[in-house]
Amino acid sequence: MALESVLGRVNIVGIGATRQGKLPEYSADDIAVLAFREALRDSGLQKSDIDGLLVQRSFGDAGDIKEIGHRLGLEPVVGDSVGHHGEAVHKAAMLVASGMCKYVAIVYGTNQRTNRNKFGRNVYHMGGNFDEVYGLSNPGATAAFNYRRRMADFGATEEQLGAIAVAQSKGAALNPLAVYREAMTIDDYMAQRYVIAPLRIVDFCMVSDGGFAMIFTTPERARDLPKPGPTIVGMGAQASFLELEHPRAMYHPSQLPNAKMLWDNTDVKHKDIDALYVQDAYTPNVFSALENYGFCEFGTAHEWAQGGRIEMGGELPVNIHGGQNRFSYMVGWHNTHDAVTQLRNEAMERERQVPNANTIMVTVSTGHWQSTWSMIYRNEA
Amino acid sequence: MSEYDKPMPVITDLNRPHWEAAREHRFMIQQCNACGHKWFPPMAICNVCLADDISWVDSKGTGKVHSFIVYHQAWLPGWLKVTPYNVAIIELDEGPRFINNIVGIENDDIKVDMPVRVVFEDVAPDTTIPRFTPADA
Repeated sequence: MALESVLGRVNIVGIGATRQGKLPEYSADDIAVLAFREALRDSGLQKSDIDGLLVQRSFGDAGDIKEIGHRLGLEPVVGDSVGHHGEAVHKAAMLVASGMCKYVAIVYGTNQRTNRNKFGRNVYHMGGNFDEVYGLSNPGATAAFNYRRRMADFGATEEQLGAIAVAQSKGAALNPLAVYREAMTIDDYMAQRYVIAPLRIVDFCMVSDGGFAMIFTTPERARDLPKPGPTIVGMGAQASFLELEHPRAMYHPSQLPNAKMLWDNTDVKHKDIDALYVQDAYTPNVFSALENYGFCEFGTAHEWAQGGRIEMGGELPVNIHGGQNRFSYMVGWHNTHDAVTQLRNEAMERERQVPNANTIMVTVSTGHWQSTWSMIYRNEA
Repeated sequence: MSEYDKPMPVITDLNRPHWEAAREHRFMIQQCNACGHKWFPPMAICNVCLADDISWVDSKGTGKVHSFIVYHQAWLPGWLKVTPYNVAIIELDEGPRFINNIVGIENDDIKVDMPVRVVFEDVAPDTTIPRFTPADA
């Protein structure tokens, strides 16, 4: 076993969220401060207790650690910028477990909807100008390539893909924080317009404003706080920077080795997972994660996920907060926030609470051919 | 014929051999003289063995469609008026995979793993853009 020095030794003791959607009255950095304030209030800690601060950079040069640190009025032992929620959780856990910091806050705020982040225009990093010459744009192109290949390799259908958007829409309908709260049927899904076929508009994440923050400490210190859990009992990481040349290029190659690290180093089994949160910038990512993390066999997720299996009340509820196409574009931060909410039995709307939620898995990623992180959170006695 | 108004190649020292070969209707890729790895689009240093002893070599220009997608919305100038248009990942017989377009076939008739070969579109007096078409076309 590796990771013994971290697993079981770090709890999440505070979570905070702002409103999601459009917040034109605040700058991105103010949104980050508001999220931190909510997490601090939730934890019962004093601001001066926070001796570790990790801030994710966000659209438009926001989220600079010096700027956020100043607005928070903090003088922490460690104050660093990070690139992603997964990196923030993993580094927070290491800082706490190592003893370098006692209470680590991780923070993200963005106003990329108000400030009109048109990331669909971005040329994806495969060939720079070559991409423009051949008409390739929008990071969602990789997910469309992935699903087209899945259709050819395994006979997957567009209707089967719709199961994800439908499930997430049903979850969002019950989530008071969600930006889009209309539940969809599969007929509604099939009637949506294509953006990059075989993907439809509702297979793509939205662009939204909002912020989230979390606070981490040891289980021993957590016992003195009002909301002491959950505990991090599983972690996996893997970066994969090969792009089209990777033999498994179409199927999120970093997730397989990530899954091996995760499952080899935890006592949690797949059957113990009460809910799964996948960073779903594009809906086909959910199928890749279900297979690569071992919830079903490779090449079967599009069948496995049918019939309500991934919906609330199903065998494995997935992205029951609504995901990034219905809840909010919060690049993984919404996953840990909702996981902790569920584990605390705080999803007040009766239908939205996973019954007896005890163990929840989160997986997040910077992109199809970049870094992925996985975490398992569990309520310890 | 109307003027070509999609994004044009931006010639750099790194990619010039590819675009100059295209004008002569040849499709060139890079090869590492140290380890033999072949790739495209261009990089100055081999990302397998990190050697910088690189040659440009002629590709046969044949391969297959690894995957393809169809844009019904466009973000790049010139592409909007030709929606729906396809973008494909081509896998050359020599190994490299890269982004290109399939021409000479309806989008609905393109298939994954379909054999393709390079064709050359002379879009301006000094610019030729390689694209791919079904091998039996």
